[in-house]
Amino acid sequence: MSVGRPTVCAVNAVQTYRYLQPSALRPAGLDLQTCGGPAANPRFFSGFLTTPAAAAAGLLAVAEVARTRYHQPVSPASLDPVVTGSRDRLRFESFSGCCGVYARMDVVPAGFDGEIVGHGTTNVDVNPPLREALARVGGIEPLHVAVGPEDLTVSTMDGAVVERKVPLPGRWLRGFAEVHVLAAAFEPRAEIPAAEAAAFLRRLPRGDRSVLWAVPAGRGLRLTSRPVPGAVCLAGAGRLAALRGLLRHARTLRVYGPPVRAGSPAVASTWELDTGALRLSLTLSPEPYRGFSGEGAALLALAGDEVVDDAELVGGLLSWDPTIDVAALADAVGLPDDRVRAALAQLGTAGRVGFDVADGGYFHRVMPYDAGRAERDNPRLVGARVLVERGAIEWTDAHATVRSGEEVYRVRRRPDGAYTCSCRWWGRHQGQRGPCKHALAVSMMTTPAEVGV
Amino acid sequence: MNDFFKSLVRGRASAVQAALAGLDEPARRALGDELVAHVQRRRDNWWAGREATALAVAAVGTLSTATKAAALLGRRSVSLQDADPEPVIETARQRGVVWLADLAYRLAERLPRNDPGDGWHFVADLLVAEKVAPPTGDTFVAGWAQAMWWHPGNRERHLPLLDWLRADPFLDVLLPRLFEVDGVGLELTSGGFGDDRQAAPRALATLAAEGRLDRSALLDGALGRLLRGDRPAALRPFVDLHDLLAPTPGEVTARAATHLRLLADGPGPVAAMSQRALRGLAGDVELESLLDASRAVLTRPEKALVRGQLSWLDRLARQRPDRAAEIAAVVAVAAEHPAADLRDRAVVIAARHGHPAVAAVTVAVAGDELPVGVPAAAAPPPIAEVDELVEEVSALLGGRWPALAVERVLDGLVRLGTTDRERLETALLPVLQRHQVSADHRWGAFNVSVQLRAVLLAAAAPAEAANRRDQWADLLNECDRRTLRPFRGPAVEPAGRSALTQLYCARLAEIGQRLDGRHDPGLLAAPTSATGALDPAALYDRLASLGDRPVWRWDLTQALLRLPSVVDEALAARAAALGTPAGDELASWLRGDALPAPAHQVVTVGRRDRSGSYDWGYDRLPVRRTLAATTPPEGVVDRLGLLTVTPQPVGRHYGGRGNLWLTVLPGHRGLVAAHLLPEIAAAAQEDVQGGATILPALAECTGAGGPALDLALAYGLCARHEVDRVAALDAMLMLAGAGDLDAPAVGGHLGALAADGQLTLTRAVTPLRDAVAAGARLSIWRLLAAALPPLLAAPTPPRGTPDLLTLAAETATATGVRIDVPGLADVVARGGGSRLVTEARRLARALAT
Repeated sequence: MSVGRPTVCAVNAVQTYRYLQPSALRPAGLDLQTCGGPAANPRFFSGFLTTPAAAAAGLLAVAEVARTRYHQPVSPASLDPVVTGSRDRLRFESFSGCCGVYARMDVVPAGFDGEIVGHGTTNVDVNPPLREALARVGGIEPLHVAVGPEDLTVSTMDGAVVERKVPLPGRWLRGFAEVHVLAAAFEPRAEIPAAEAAAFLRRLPRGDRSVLWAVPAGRGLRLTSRPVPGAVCLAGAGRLAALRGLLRHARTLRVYGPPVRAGSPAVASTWELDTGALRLSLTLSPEPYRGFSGEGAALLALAGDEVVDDAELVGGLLSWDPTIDVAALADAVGLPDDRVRAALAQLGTAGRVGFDVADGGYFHRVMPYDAGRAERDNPRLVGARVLVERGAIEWTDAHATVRSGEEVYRVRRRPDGAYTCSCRWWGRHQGQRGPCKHALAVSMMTTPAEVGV
Repeated sequence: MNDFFKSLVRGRASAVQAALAGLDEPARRALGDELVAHVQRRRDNWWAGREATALAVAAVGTLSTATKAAALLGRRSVSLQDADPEPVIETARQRGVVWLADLAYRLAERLPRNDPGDGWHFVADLLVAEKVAPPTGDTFVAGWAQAMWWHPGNRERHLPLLDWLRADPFLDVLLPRLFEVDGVGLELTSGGFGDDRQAAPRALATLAAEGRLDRSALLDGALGRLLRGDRPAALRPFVDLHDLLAPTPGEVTARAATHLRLLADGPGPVAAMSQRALRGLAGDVELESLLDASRAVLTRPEKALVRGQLSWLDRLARQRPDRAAEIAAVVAVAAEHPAADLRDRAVVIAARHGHPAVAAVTVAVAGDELPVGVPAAAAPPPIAEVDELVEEVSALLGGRWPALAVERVLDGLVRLGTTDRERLETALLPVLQRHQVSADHRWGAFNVSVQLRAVLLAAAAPAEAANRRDQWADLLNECDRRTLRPFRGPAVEPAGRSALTQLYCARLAEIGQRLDGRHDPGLLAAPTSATGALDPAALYDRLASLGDRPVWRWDLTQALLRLPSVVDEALAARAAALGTPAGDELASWLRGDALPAPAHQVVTVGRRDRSGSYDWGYDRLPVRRTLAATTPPEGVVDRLGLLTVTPQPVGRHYGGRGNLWLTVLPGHRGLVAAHLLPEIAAAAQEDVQGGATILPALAECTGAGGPALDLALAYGLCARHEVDRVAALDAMLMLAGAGDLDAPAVGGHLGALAADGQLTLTRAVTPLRDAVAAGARLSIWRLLAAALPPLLAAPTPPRGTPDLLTLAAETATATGVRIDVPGLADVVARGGGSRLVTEARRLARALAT
């Protein structure tokens, strides 16, 4: 039974990349070219990477996720990774074309020796010749790395400008932002040594699309078919393939996920390799065919106006700290902690903060695209606003009746504050992908400030 | 319609050309606008073959720019695959079109990504005619790769690949891109060459040998591709190309760093290629880098690769005695390898070169260390209000039918349908309409799905119920002859439908009738546990609060079937004291007049008969399948058919609704396993994904297992898909934790089935190893000790037997428990160096100490 016509997203745009020249590995070191963000071609870092082989493997993994579709290649969308220079951290992030895998490499202070000269987030070029060159990087001698062009005039003179236009789908933007809202609920579930991690990751079936769970067993992890408390969901195990390159440099594998209990549906999870000098993490969507874009975790937060105002206030105070201290921020703006957290979630959907599960906190990052628009124009949110405007909601006893066209839906508020609905969409997903538009409309009518499902 | 369009529709390119011949430019352009409108109007037409040729001629003959022509010919409804380019080129020449090359470039951009060959030849011919350089976009390159083996239509083009490439004007421009475009390797291998999957690499290597192509460019291109990585199958032609070029030692030395990187991190076949290339060098590789790479190689799971690396390092240590200690230290890395034979070899080599092994001390623990099983969760609370019921119905209609959800909805319907009728009607009807639940019942009365929909409709629209009453009465009348009890009495003929269908349909018909009542307290059979089981005390309470209301027979039957099969005299006395017929029934059930245990028998069935001469499905069926048959015990009449499982030939079993079986008999898992066994076996024998995922739920139920459960676990361990094997492992651990696992019986079946060729034994190795890691070492040792005798006795022990021997040796040592393995001594006595004998010797040693 299908759910009627597919949702057409009207916010597809085009992303133009304009790099002054291709990124390249030269005898002098690695020159990563940038474009967009705080400047046309910003420069963030110049210095040395202390573990070049591991950093090269990590960068390759991030680039691999950026150019892969793990589910049904439809159109050859391939958006470049982004790099964030914040205080004490270089972070490379990418999001797969299928919107189901998010990769991030965090280079911590032990991993670089040099100065972060600029703060901000920008696109970074990783082209095929560079990938080949990165695959050859070895040895233990520190590698010089420059993020951003050194001298604007010289580079533009030789006419090697790289310009590409690629589609920037709305669902890709929404998914990229949504990851962080989901990740904020993750907790550490297991930490296993490298040897066991390698054995575990190598045995995973490649093309498998089924939903499995992993539980700690002995020193390693064991697969199991059903969720138990403490288990981590592993859906489409083949999507962890990008971690393999870094395996032999890693010390530990850490796994994060939301709390589950027996009978839980599939959930998202984060798999992170730590080498001591850098961390590479992959966050997987609950099922291979499900992009993060449809998870709807942030919709209730976006339904209210108060949160938006708070977010503006909080957003103004972020200052490229590697982790955002919620309590300090709450003091600074004079809001309670939970409202600051809600505001941060809201900023996350606009691509203005990310969430680092290893640090257990948000970090400041501003996407080099208008990511907020995509989430504001979420089809469900748009639909809900229309319902509210039409006055389609009517309260009968404790529950609401929503009239949408010919149809009549009943929306019920559960004791835990979540809404349920009698529509087909809800019947199919049962709250696993956030509220339906009818429930959203009802929540807009009642308590705008309420957050969380 | 004028001649132009008539000819176009009929696919007559020459007639279209003729119609255009005398026209001047303005007339052509006017016709061009009509043409675009014509194609847009005929949206359902598929332009292919001659029609596509005619359309292309018309487009080139009338449209004003390449953009317009490309937009028309690039439509998804136009397939240029078999279009003839000749008349198109001719038309362009006649009209003096200057944008034919531009059109070709634009069409190249629009080639379908998932089938780049569709239209490639047409575009290529235009390019050749215009004598321009080919485009280098990904799709065009992929189409070129496909064109190396796929030449549609035109026979004369079908030159041998080598000659075709030699004459190919695109070769020099497109060849470098062959190494750059992701996934193009798949096009190079995917069929067409017949058995020769190396045809393309061989042709390229030959051209390099002739000097037509640059040999080092090919080598670097292939290695670059391998370094950047791709899907394993897409890398294969590049590995072949590298090997066919047979690089000289000089060439390999120049690329040694790349090979070392591929050896350490590349996919298996690529690493093997690099190992071959480097080992041919005889000592020209820098030792530090080699040792660094070796550390990574020796932890890889590919055994051949590790074995090769070990012997290479062994040879190297002999040649370089000065560095032998250093090399031996690296060799010792493999002493931790998961494969026992490699561990042994590494220890021997390391010791030979001065790195003695540290003897591992194992402390034998003679037993399993498994977490104590947690009891199954309680069933979710009953549905409390109409809106919740409506949501649950919506969820039920939208997906699969989880048995517990069905039970909750039925219970809710009975209670709320008889207390809050009006609200239920108003809320339920729109949901049923949205899901298009109709009153159509062509499928006959005994159909669970039809009857469930009928009950829902009856609850939403009372007028519906009136139409159903007769059918329900008939259905219940028929079922009256097939009551579960008494267990003794005259026999009736078999029903010809499954007991599951019969029981559910009878219950649904009853529920339909109950909807007419007032203030119904709900189902007696509503489960209290997530397994579907019903607590006897809860059933007693429900009966007690029923007072003198009527008891519905099939509801009570199902309630009794859901009780655990234990005798409870105290509760029975209280039930009897109720003084009602239902109370008496419960009392006698609790006193032991419960569902009798059937007799199990293991039988092997063959395939169904071949039907007709074109029965392609027949040859794909497994030849034999071992199943469990059950029969009612002596003197018991099985009117309902619950106790009788008659195995059907392979290919004639129709499963379905298997998840409902568990909640019908949650206290009799052996019987449920017998009913579900064909589906579970299909997970191992017919590659069905998800066939065995029910096993953990089965393990969570109670009751005797018997051969059906043991067989189910054996099949599950050898299932084709990971998700099924993991489910079997979970079930096995749960049973072992609860002390309900008959490990020797599971092992006996596993060995016998594998020896008979019914199972792929190698698949069981990983789940069994995982079970040991999870703590079930004694259970697995007992399982293996029973599995090995039939395997060792087989004329040629199936693949995987040595792995089981290794695991047996490990578990025997870890537990310190001695179990005799018949047939082991015979294999050891054969002598020789085969893996089977080596591993048999290892087990014999473990048992001797």
